[in-house]
Amino acid sequence: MAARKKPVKKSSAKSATPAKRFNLKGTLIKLFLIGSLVVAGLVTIWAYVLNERVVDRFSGTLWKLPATVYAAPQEIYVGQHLSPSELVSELTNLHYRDRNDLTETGTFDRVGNEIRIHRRAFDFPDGQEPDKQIRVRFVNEDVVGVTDASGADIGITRLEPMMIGQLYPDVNEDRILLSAVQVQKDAPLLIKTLITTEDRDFYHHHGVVPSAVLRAFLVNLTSGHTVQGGSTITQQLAKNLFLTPKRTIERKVAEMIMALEMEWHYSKDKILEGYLNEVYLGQDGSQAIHGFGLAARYYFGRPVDELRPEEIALLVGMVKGASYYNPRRNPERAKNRRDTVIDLMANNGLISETEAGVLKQRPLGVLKEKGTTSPHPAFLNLVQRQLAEQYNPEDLKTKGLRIFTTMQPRVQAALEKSVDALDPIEKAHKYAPDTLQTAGIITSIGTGEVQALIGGRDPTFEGYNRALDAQRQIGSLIKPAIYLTALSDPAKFSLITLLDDSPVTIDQKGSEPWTPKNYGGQFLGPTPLYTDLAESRNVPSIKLGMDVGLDNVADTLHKLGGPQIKPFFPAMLLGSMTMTPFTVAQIYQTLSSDGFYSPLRAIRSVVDSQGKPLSRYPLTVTKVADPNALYLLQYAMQGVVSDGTARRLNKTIPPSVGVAGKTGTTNDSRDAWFAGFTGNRVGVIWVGRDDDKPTSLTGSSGALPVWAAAFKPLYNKPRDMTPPKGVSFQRVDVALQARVPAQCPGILMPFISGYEPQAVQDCQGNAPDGTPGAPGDSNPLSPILNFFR
Amino acid sequence: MIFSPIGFRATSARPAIRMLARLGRLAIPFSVIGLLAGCATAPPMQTAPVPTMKQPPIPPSVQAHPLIMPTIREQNLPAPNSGMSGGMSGGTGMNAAPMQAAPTASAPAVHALIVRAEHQTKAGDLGGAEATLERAVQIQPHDPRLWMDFAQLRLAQSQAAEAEQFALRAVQYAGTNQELSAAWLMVAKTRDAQGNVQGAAEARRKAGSQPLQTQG
Repeated sequence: MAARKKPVKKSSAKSATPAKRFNLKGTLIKLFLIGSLVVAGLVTIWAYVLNERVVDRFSGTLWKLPATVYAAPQEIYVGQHLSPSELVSELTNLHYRDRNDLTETGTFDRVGNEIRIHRRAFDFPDGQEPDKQIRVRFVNEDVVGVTDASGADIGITRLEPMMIGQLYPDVNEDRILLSAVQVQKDAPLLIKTLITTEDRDFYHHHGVVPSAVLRAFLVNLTSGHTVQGGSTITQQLAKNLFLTPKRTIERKVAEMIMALEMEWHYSKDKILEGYLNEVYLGQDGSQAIHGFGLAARYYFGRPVDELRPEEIALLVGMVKGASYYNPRRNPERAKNRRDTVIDLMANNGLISETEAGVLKQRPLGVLKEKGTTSPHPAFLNLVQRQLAEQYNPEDLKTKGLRIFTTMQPRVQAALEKSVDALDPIEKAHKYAPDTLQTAGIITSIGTGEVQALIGGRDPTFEGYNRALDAQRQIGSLIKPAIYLTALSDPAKFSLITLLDDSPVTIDQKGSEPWTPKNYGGQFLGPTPLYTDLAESRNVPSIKLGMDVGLDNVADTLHKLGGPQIKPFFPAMLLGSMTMTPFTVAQIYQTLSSDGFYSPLRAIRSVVDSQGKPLSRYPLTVTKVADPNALYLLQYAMQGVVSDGTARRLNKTIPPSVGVAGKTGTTNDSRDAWFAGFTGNRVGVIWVGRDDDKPTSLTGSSGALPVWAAAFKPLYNKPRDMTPPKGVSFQRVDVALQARVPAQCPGILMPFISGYEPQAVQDCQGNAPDGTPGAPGDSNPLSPILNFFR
Repeated sequence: MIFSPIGFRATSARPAIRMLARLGRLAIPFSVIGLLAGCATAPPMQTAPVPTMKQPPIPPSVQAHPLIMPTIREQNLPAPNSGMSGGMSGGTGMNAAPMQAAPTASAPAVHALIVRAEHQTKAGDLGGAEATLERAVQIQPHDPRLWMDFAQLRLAQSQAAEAEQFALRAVQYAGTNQELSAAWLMVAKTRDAQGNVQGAAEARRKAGSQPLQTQG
């Protein structure tokens, strides 16, 4: 390269030496020769330095590789409730093909009650699942057999997990990496158009086209300032990768040198690939949009191979100036530029003239909102936060991490679809469309894995994540904490303890006395504790809370996974404190898990690109409540659904599931909540308005329908209602506060053993002779219950 | 929130000898459970204390295998709705039957995972065993056996306090006296490991059994 400069210097030396004296002439020639050598040497060193930079950058990975995020894999096991069509849709989502012949991996075949799968191999963090033929036998919607090709039972297996996104755990930079070979195959028009528009000789030059440089030089000279680049794709890439955008002669020369060096070292494909991924195509807030992969998603919400010709033309046209031709801000300019590119395409035979005419008629077709969102941005958002909290930042810089999450695609899909339940609610209440907002979380019983999460009504919108960030009053969702505190003192409280539902005024230090009211305004006198919870009676709940002590309620709430609230004011017994839906889910997770607290997790494990686990965020459990008291509470919460404020749920979810839950409604119906659990999942739904204006909704009319819509398509395992060893069921007469024989009217209630009602009455309310309060054997269930002890 | 990343790196970096020592300790409670289970189910062949030694290391997907604490619950459970539906309904619809949801149809799957976890443990892959047990507990969160295995695993990972919590959860779901006793013994063991002598004694008392031979 230095050699090329020499003639230039020489010629200038010649023209600058009109020598008169022989000696002088000789000296000058010598001087110029030496000078030229020095310049050549310096240029060589410069070129060498630049070369180092080029090689250094290209030898490693050109860009930070994003971490790949996976959903939880589909497990397939004997005894699982899974319909053949669910499995087929799962396979289809993983791009398995329906083939009779299963010789290739990634194929399946449905034969009667059996689905045969040739599963792809996958390296899970806990071991490899080899490529393997699997047979899954169904009876109705249950898996009854999982065998290998030889018919040997394997009990359980799993498919490879679905990829749900890519993210950069440590930087605010996004890029969807394309491979040149892949793009050549899937979207050849993109490459052809790009080359036609930007660098027609790309496959023939050596990085720099001298004639083009010369032409640009002349144009710039005559116009007095730099207008034309005359840059090849290689030069543009050199500039983008290594140089600042400032235009000086020095930069230009460096750019050319580096372009030549890149061409010397690397293939056209490699350079093109670099270009496809590096070219600047817009700005999304603080994030630069680099590369066609990301741009295709940002502007059209689609992968590159699904772009239509006019969309390709737009993106390629934008290379010239991504902000000047920004189709969202400057649509007319962008359209003109696009049409220019379409003409170029036609002139060069990439498309026909008539086609060009049709394409130019089409609108830009750019998405109104950016389409870079992952399909499940709210969930990924949680993943990103938990990564930052739980993993070493240094580890997260590792290239190509694989992140295994807890998301269950089917559950996530059901939750995302459930927001449709808000449309009829808005219609019925004559609200403008999209008045209501929502957030929801579904977790797994027992382990606290977050299976699904939505941060708003548009689940694809990547923005305000209400599930994690909306601080809303929780209303009556607080009540289980009050009742659990009470039931943990069995000497004083049982489910049939009569609470006084009558007017009360509470004196508060430093503020007006408070006279709380019931929803509906009536007072019912003495009512049993379980009814007060089922019907969410305010006044008896407040009295109960005052009775057990505000600090104790605060303590229970905190232990269950809620925030530590101090001081705890009486009004907080009606849930005047704010929490995020995520925190509420944490509390109800503990309630559903029999009093064992497990932090909600979105990540199972993270491994590096070699498959080495970074660390695991393991399952932990902490016993935070008396399981017996909690059983009683769950029983009462089941009453919320069977007989109480959430009874409309029975229309959607069969009562046999035994859903336990709680509705919540705050002042002026600003917030509607439902939190409830089945035998396999916990769900929390919040509905309200972003501007915190009142609605006329209750937990039951606003949030419960969304919850029901989310759970309806899922398999809901009936809750296991086996009483723990410290609980016994008794037939009781609530009004008499006494046990009654089996033939008497009465209800069956669980009690903490040793604290059953002592009194025994006959059907008329008289104490029967000879049975003075011996506990136990009047219970018709005893023989059965003894099985469980 | 409490996060303690389990030491994948730490464990794998430790000398194999220490791992072997741990496995030695592991064998004791497994055999205890094995004995208890054997008593419960009666077939004499089940009483073999450590039945898994002959197995090849970590089969990718696990074959059927004699289990330590097999189908006790299933055999003893009443069939759902057996003779209870009539007498149950009272004044309100709240009288849901206090019964087991369904005898576990997923038993073969859970058993396969338990065996896999055992193999992983024996191979020193405690992180893998943990992941496998988590899969199992997703399927059957009320299976005391799984929580016992978790407790055992945490002990092997030198996390006695966490192990105790898992053991308490096994207590919670223990369905038979044998299971209950085994679970309390596990609690005792985890308390021993924390130096909680009184708590351990208390747990042994609840196990309702003899003072038991001192544990390692």
